Amino acid sequence: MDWYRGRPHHISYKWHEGFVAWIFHRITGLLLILYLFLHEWVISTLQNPQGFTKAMAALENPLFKLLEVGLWLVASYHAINGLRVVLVNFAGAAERENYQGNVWIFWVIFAIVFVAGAIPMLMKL
Amino acid sequence: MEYMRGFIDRYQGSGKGGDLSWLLQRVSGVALLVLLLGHFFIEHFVGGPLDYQHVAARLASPLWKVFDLTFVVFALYHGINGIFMNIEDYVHSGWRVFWKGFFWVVGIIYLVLAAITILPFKG
Repeated sequence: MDWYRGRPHHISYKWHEGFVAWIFHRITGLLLILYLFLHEWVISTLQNPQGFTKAMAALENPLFKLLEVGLWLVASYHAINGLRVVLVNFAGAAERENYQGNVWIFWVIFAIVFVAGAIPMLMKL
Repeated sequence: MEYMRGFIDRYQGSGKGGDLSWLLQRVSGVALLVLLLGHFFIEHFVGGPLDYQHVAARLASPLWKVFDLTFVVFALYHGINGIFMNIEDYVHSGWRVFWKGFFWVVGIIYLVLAAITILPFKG
């Protein structure tokens, strides 16, 4: 982030565990709102049964099935890290030593939840 | 857009000010976790494939209309509030006003789209 140092509105970041988790939180958040817009647009075809059936048939494509696993990755990351952030904010987990530890605990929990959910999804492919 | 400077500087990033939207972001986030689990469970584990009949039967019920509308209101609020936090952190020119206005309009359009999809639906 050195290129940004000294600029009028520069914010200084330290590359510790929580910062990396936070960067991913922002990226996954933006992907999720983009998904919500697309999802709502597809669901609005419910007003026309033929249109809805056509849209759902298009989503049967293996590419979309794979993208669904990507959606699960992004959504489970954002949800579980969000819960960690709430704990950091309100449950006194913000002390330095706890804080570094809880990021690593989060990665383990996230990995387990993601794999557990992704296996049945991939088996349907 | 220089004349906006003083106004913008007072709201310099989500780290300064905006504590109510910060708190509501936490509250709506936890609510979304519960709503998402319900939504996911209903769509993927209960009652057959995701075809028109399955979705229409559920959406015709007033209780599910309330659930889905609550879900979409929380999701849109949380998502667009998140975009606002990004704008506040990374956009430091008059464009901030433009982007915030833009996402206000997008949010309202999508709220209306959800309402006209869910509320009048009879199946």
